[in-house]
Amino acid sequence: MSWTTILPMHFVMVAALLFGIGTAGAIIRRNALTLLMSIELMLNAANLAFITFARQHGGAEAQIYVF
Amino acid sequence: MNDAGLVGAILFYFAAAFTLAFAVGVIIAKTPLRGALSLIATLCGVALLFLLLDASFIAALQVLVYAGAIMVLFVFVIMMLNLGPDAGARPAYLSVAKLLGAAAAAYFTARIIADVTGGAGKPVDGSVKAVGTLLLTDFLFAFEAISVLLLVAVVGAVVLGLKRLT
Repeated sequence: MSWTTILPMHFVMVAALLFGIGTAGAIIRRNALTLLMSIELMLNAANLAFITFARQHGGAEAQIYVF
Repeated sequence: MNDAGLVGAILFYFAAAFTLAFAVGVIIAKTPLRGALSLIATLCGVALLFLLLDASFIAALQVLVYAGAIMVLFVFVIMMLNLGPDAGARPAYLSVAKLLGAAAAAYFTARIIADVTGGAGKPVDGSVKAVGTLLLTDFLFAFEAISVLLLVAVVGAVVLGLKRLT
């Protein structure tokens, strides 16, 4: 029941870009709330990387960490 | 590439472009409220990516908990504090900081992308049953520890709130 044939590498790239955008936001914005939202972006990038590696190794354990 | 694979690929590129575009929208938004709305869209895009990675339970949680609960809290705080566009002083060195921040982010992103390798993925059972079983058997201790941590956070919030009231 696999949906996609896209390589996990591409998902990791998206996660890395998302993390980079979050980092840039955390550095260039001074508003406290925007800072928090940027950190939220970085957190989501990490979660996406976790889920991607869960798929790469074929186990659901990493999904627990995200949970 | 078969039909389902093609649909998956189109969905992946759509979700990735959607997520990244709204993520940029979060950090360049003029007002915090627009940033929060962009962040909701970003989180929904990430949920779509989770779905593509066979993590249906996590995707549902992402929409319910992040896009639902946490973002409602954000929007609530923004509206309660009535934040205008870019509250607070902006010093003159900010443009240098912007350049430095963008450069640092680009450097780290390039490093991560350059280091990533790996083969094709394997299908994962990400249903509620599979994840729940794993959570309440192998990871029971971590689950309970998180519960205690959340309880401590709730107690801390109440204590801090009470101190401010009296």
